[in-house]
Amino acid sequence: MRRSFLLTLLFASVAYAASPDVRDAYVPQPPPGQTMAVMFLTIHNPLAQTVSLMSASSELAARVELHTHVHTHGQMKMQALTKVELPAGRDTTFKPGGLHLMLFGLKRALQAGDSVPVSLALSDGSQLRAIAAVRDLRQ
Amino acid sequence: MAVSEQLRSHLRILVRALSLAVLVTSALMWLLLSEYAPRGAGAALPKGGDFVLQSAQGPLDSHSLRGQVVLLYFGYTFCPDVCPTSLTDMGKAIQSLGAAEQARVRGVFVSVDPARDTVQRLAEYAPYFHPRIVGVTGDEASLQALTSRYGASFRRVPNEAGEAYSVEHPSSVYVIAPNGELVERIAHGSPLEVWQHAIRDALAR
Repeated sequence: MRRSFLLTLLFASVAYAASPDVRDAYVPQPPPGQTMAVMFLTIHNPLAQTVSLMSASSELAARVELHTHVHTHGQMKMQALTKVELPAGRDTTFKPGGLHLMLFGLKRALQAGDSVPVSLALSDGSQLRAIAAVRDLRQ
Repeated sequence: MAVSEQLRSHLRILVRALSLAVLVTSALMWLLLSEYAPRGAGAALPKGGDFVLQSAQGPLDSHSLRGQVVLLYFGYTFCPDVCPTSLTDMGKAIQSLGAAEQARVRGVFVSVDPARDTVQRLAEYAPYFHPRIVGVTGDEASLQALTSRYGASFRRVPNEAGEAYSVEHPSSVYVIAPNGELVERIAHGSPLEVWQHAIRDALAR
């Protein structure tokens, strides 16, 4: 009883101090021998103003870049971005064929079920932390 | 009297709602079909044609694939998202077929990044998505000639942020019938049914 009250209080305080949060973060299991991976996630920005995602990092990768795809005339091209705007009150979704985080120089092979931590630096100086689950998309 | 009038008005509303539903459904179907529809009867298809490329098991001559449906895809292993997505879809499509059909389908993943993708690397990479998918590559000039016959091209795009480069590449999968003729192009992101339909159509030729 007391625990549920405390939990409610905790959630209420989190909801009150609304700040961007990360949902549904995942990494498709890289094929064998792959030294890079891609991460997809949704960032919810409950703030009244737009903030930008400036950079990302992970303990499991040498470097993380913000990328998107440009699909024109049947050709697919990747493009590195210097920042990604997160509009006020909206979800910004990084998904296959669009925005994605590129993890270069994996420190170890990733298997389905592994967790990949990621840290996202926002333009307001705050840091968002999230854990992405590695998923085998062949199933 | 009042009851039957009420019933009639209810019926009218029901009929209107139903016709609206039919209209909306047909519009959606039309959108979906036109989005993913095959280019139709080879109308806008490039000429395609044969190739000899290198695999870890030696040269792969497309003539040796006659009698099978070939799913041809151009990409590179450093491609983090689009290529794995297309190859995952290809693997799932092959897996969804019956055993006899699977035996008559080959996926061919052509790396357009021969500088980084060795045949050994491709032998490790391509079958991960399905054992029926083979990884091949060739020299730059023959790859350029081949992609252009398939109405596409590729080029290196320097990545300013880091030392690695990416490669701009075609996004479709080409379906080659058992007689060697290019019969279909499957758009990136097509649902499983589109793959199955395209493969079975080609098998029936």
